[in-house]
Amino acid sequence: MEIMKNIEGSTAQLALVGRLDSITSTQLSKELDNLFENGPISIVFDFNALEYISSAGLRILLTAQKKINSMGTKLKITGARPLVKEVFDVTGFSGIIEIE
Amino acid sequence: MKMRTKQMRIKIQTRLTLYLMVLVILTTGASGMISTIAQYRALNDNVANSLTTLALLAAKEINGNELTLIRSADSEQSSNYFDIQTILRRIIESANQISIQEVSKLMNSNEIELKKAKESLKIVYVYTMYVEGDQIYYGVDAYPSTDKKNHSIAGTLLGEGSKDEDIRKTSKQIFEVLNGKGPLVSDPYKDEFGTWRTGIAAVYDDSGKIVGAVGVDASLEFIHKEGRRLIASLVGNTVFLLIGAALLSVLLSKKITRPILMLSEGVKKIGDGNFEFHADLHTNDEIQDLADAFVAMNENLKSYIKNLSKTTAAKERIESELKIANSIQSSMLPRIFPPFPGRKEINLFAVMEPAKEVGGDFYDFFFINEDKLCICIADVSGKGVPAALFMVITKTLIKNQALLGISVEEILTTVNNMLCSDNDESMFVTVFIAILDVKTGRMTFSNAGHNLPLICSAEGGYNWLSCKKSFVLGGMENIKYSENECKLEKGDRLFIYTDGITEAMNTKGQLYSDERLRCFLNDSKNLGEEELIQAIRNDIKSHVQEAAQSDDITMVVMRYNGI
Repeated sequence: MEIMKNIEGSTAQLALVGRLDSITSTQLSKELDNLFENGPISIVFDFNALEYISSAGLRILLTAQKKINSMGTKLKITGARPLVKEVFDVTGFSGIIEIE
Repeated sequence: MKMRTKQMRIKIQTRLTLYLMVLVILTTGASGMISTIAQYRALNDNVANSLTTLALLAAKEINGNELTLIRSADSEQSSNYFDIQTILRRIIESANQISIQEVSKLMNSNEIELKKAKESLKIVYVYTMYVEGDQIYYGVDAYPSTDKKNHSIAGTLLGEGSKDEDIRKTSKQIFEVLNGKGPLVSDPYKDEFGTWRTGIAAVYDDSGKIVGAVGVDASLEFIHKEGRRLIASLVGNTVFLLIGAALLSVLLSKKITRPILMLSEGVKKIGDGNFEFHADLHTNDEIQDLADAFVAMNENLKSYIKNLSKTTAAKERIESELKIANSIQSSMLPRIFPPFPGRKEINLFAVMEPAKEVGGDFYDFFFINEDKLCICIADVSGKGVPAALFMVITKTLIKNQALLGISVEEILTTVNNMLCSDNDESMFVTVFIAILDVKTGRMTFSNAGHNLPLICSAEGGYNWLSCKKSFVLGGMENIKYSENECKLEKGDRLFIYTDGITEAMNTKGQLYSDERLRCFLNDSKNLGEEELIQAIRNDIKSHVQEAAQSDDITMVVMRYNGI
């Protein structure tokens, strides 16, 4: 999986390319930890190129959402493909995370 | 390796010895040969010079006028003869440092002694010669006439009747001296008594006319003996040096090969797995470098092996612990089918196959009371040991809550809040839970982020069981879970599963998919519960082919038979 990062002011844009599964999720987890280290930040995920998300990937998103809640910033997911969107719907994540 | 050891191997020691020997032969042999030849030549020249000198000495001392008077045996009694004989005799005596009597005695001994005598005597014969016509005759002889063997009688022909080439050549040289060419030494020549050289010098009378010549004969036995001695000493020296070189090379090669042999012994030990290798070498050369390299290698190997056995042991321990964990986990799930042999209202079959040793999926079913059957299936986020631990907690909490007789909605709400506290890792679990009243067929169910189950009516086919969506368990506190309701008819089937089935992927990255599952179920409606589950497993296997199982696979099928 590839993560393309673009920080503009207090918002970080993360575009994920490929599959977010139990192996690649640690990569995203590290990336997010690095971002949160530097103080409050909002995150916008670009999931246009994300092919698949597993429960391990969901767990990272959930952790991020909790962190965002405690910081009082925002987390948003944009451009999710139908297959990924379906996962968010089935698991109820679409009720917890802002999905455009 | 064995082939190489069987080939002819020349030890360093042998090689070094051979090299040194060749070197000794080349240097001492060649230089010795050259110096021996030079010495031999010098000796020859020396003899030639002294013969000429002695002949010249005698010739100068002899009165030429007196010499002309001696022409026959009769004249041997004359005082002239004695005068000249004394001069000649003194030449022999001074050259050999012994009296003429002793020389005579030596020369008259038997054959073996005679050879020795000739070898020890520097000058053997001294005499005068004169020419008459074209013949050379003996004049005075140093040996007294009583020595019949050695004495040449005055007036006898020199080299009489000899057709020998050597003698004729020598005669020619005598003629050259007598013709005034000056003193010379003859080339070596042979006769019946041995090999000789003769110093020849002319004798002059008062008027300066050449009246005869003095001949000084030396036996070349003396030179030959000297030559043999020189060769013997050359050979002796060479042999001595060869032995020296051999000893030196043995010592030297021992010094060189000893550390190599030590190293080789040590390395063999390392090869046998004995890492107590200490190279006690202080040669301060390339071998020392090699030894140091071996010591370093040995240390590295030692720590490597140590690490390896440590990690292997750790790995084996973890593996065996996981094996135990696997059996604990599978024993936590109801595994005996049919699970409720006395209950004819339902048929149940279930399976859970973890992708790793332990999994995060589980299923469960139990009667809450006489009529109410609780069925649930769950999928913990992630895999392996963390998921398994979370699964154990979830399963225990759900069963505890369900046995209280509360609604499915209440069960999920309580369990969610319990799971959320102290959940630093943000682990979560998707759960589908249903409570079926086996008497009435009324089923209440709730879905916490789990895959939609499939339901099959006795007449129609499989369809997704519609239910309100709710968030997963453990994700956020105070989530509201909704309750759904439906009524099962006799022969209806409920199929619940985890995404390990629909997301089973083949090597091309294609998922098994919800649709394939639904179609397969519709095609297999006539199968019994156990056969159905087995058929689905086989279908998944035929889909993924060689690809490794990526997620836990869990499914439960229940058929409602009514009362």
